[in-house]
Formats: sequence, structure tokens, C-alpha cells
Amino acid sequence: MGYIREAQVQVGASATAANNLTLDTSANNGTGTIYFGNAGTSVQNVMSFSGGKAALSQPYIAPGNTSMVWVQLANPMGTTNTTVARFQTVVTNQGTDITYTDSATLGATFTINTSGTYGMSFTFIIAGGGQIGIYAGSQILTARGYTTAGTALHCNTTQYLTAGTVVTAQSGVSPGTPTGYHQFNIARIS
Amino acid sequence: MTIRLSSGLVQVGISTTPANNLVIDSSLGNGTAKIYMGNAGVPVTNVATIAATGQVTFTQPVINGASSYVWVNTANGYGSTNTQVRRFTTLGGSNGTDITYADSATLGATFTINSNGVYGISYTDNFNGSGATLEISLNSVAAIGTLAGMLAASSCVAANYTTTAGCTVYLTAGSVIRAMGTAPVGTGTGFVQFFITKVN
Repeated sequence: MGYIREAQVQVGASATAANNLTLDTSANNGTGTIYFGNAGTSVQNVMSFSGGKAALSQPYIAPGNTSMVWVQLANPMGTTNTTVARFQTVVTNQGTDITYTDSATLGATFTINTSGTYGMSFTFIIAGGGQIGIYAGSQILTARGYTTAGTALHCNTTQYLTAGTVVTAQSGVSPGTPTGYHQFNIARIS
Repeated sequence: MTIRLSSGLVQVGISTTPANNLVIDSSLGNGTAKIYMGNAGVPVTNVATIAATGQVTFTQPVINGASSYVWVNTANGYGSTNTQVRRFTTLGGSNGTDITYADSATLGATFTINSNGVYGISYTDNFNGSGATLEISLNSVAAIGTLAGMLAASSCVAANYTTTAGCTVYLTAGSVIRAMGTAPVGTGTGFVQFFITKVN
């Protein structure tokens, strides 16, 4: 057999309509739908098309997207990269999309291995007034500043990052006390 | 009966306008496939390609179905046992089954994760004390400032000034997220908001 050319193609012949999958372009207007049900009678919509754009009826599930690094408790900053924060405790380091490296000279780096969208969150107490920020390479992504020592500064952002990007958490002022507020996490979203 | 098409082409629709027809095309015979609007073998608009690995790449951004989320707002004190765990007056909205919100007079508000995934969390509060701090906590009711379970935190610059923190993290089923604070609500209780949304 060469082609099937019909406005509705039902895959399955179960007496239970919800067990059959139907592809349907019978509207004849450049749209199409894929649904469970018998041809012409949708029980559960799966996906619809309009031109080249697809719309899912349920949230898209990205299997295996578990990459996340979560570190806490500040160390002294890098000795060469003096604004790059370091951390003492790795709470979570999972997946392959982010490589966490700690260096006494360079500070903590989070290298992106897979292009995608990442969420990042940074909390820091500084020893005096100043700014903290999250960087991608030399580019600042987000920052927050305050005049008083001893209060928890926070910033967070969601960005598309390409493979090879090096993310750092930076502060213009050394970590201060109390120490129980230093935290950085980064997770791949999609 | 199983229909096996040697051409690798299924055209759904027989419109004389090719863009009205949908084609599933595996004619390359190399483990890949395409879905496009057009006639069999003649794409007009590509919808998606499927690699031999099974990975699907959509041509345009996919319009996603509604995600699971919970939105609560307006401060309602803290739990009487978990004295730093915020409670909220109003359920502003919710959807889906991936997050279970519960409010307890003793334990405070809890947001229990029902399915593994990436979640975006945002917490805004307003305290009556200068330097008071909020925290988004994972699986912990330990006092703020101990690092236990601290996903994000932020201090207010002065009494009655709003502060906020957020994070996007991978959470496993069974995880419990809490909004925590170190001081009573300030004059801006209307600013108190907590959102949690499953993003992937």
C-alpha cells in the first residue's frame, strides 16, 4: 500500500473509544488534532495543530531533566577572582547538565554543559554595604545591593544559557555573619 | 489488522489546499520521522521532527497545557508549633494534582510535591521588624539561619518594607515546601504572596 489519504485516521478499533487514537484534519482549515476517541468523536484531546504550531492539552513532561546543584555556607572568596563566592557544603549535585567546581583561587563555578533554560537563586550575607549578583561569564544577570551588614541579600533569575557558559555567584564584599544564610542553587528547567 | 505502509507516509486530509492536510512521514527509512502540514512527501509547514533517539523537536514554541500551581496570599500568622512557618488567609488559585496545599493552625502551611519535576517558587512577605528574614524551606522547620533546607532567603531593609525571594529547583515526590519568617507581619499584609508552579 502506498499512502493513506483520509481526513480522519483512527488508529485502533477498540470498542472502548478512549483506547483509540485519531488524527483528524476534517476541519479543512489548516488545523489538525490528535485525540483519543473514535474518528470524529474526541474523548481526550492530546494535541492540536494550527499551521506549524503545536499545542499540548496537558503539560509537557521532560523526562530525565533532573540537573540541579545546590550549595550552602560561604567560604572565603577566590583569591584571584576576589568577588567570586565559594561554598563549603554541597547539598545537591545531580544530573549532567551542570558541572560544579570549587577553586580556592577562582571561586565556585557552575559550567553549563547543555544549552537550555536555567533557574538560579543566590542568597548572601555581606560584611558591609555592597552588592551581590549572579553572572554568566562577565555578564551580570541579576543583582541586589544594600547598605547594612548582617542582612540576607537575595536575587534570582531564569535565563537561557548556552553550553560552555560559566555561571558564578559574586559579591563585592566578603561574606559576613550570621553564616546561616549563604546559598546558591541552579537547576535546568528545559 | 495492522497496516504497514511501505512508503512511510500517512496523509490525514485530502484537501486540495495542501496546508490543510497533516502528514506523518518516516519515508527516509533511517529511524527519523517528521510531522508536517502539506501533502505526502511535500511539506508546506513543518510541525515537528523525531530523531532516531526518540527526541522530538518542535518547529515552533509548543503551547503547553495548564501547569500545576498553588497561589496563596495574605498573612495569617504562623503555626503554633512550627512558629516560623507562615500561614495564609486566602487561596488565590490552584490547578492540577502535582502540589498539595494544606493549612494547619499548629504546623503552618505546607506545599507537598506529588510528582518529580522542576518547580518555580516565589515568596514575598512584609514584617514588622527591621532586618527580619523570610525563607523558602525544603523538608525542614529548623529555625531560619541554620541553613537546614534553606532554598532561598531574604531580609527586609526596614520594618514594614516588603522583601522577596525565589528559586527554581528540582523536587522529588514527597518533598515539603514551606514559607517561613522571623517576625510578625507588618503593615503590608496585602503584599504577602506565595506561588509554587511546576514548570517541567
